[in-house]
Amino acid sequence: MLREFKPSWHTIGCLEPLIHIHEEDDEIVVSADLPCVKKEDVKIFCAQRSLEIQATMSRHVKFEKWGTIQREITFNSFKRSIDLPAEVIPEEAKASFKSGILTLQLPKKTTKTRIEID
Amino acid sequence: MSNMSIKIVESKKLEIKNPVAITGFPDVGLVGTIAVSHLISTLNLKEIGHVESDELPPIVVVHGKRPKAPIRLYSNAEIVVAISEIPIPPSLVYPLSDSLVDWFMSKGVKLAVLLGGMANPKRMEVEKPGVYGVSTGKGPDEILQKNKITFFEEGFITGQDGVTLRTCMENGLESIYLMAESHHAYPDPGAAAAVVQAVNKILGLDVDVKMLLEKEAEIRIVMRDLMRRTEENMKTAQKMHEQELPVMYG
Repeated sequence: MLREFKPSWHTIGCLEPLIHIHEEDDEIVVSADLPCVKKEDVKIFCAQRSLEIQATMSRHVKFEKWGTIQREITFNSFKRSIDLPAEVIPEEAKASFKSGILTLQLPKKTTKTRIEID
Repeated sequence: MSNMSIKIVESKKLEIKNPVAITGFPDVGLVGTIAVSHLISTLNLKEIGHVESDELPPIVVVHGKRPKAPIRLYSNAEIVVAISEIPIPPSLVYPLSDSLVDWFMSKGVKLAVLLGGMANPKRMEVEKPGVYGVSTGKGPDEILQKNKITFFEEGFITGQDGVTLRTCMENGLESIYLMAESHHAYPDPGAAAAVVQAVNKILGLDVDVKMLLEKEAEIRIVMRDLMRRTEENMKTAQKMHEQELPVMYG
């Protein structure tokens, strides 16, 4: 129940980016919306079943009229950790960054066995 | 055909005759919401009313220190605009369409322009989003042709915009739905700018979109939470149908 009330921002000035996960046969494609971020300021950490994205914003954003405690916060970074729906091979992952959108292609760790029909 | 579960409440009398109605509801890329929000601030439209319903979630928005309903109407001498700051609950889509179209027609609206997005999985590779239009009859067809807006000829449109478009047609209110290629579930000010430029052509306005493009990153941050909630809503509205080929093709 408490999880539903967890906001997508933190008092330390960190925002959770919008993230989408799409699972294909051989890979998991993850994209993240990272506005105000330059490619060189993105850090990605990938384990077999989890992914963490961190990014520092090149322009800090402060919402001076928003809410109560929120108006005291200057947002300067993004951070989010997610669980992946299947095991991946981090060493073979590819990443691209365009127009503030990070796209990750994470090959799945799968073993396929061909089944013959009698 | 108005539905008793929805009421349009006028806080100020609409003093213009035969306005053009424009709507922008949270949907793909929040294109409609961002576009009408930009129209409201750039054209300095005044709030003239809001939508009331016991079936809306118990949400109040505070702007300029004042509590406001999340679905509101704004106008100037020429246009009336409907905007929502919350995703429309699926149970309210049909009643809201009925009530809005009834109200538009009672105010002498002769043309309704609905603004939205059409998801393009390759949106990142698109420099300038294309705008497509669906119209409800020959009159709006001519408007699209005259302004060289490409027709969306076959496919699905889901959610509030699709239902409102159809309700307009059933009630004899000429209507155009303008969709810009956009991200599916990331706020897309670039697509909103494209659709505003199409509105400029159709209505002879001169709304500057420079600010939308300059503030794109900030808008994407501000709109994050609404986008997340809208995406949950879109799943219920079966948004994926829009990527499918209709059965009776051609």
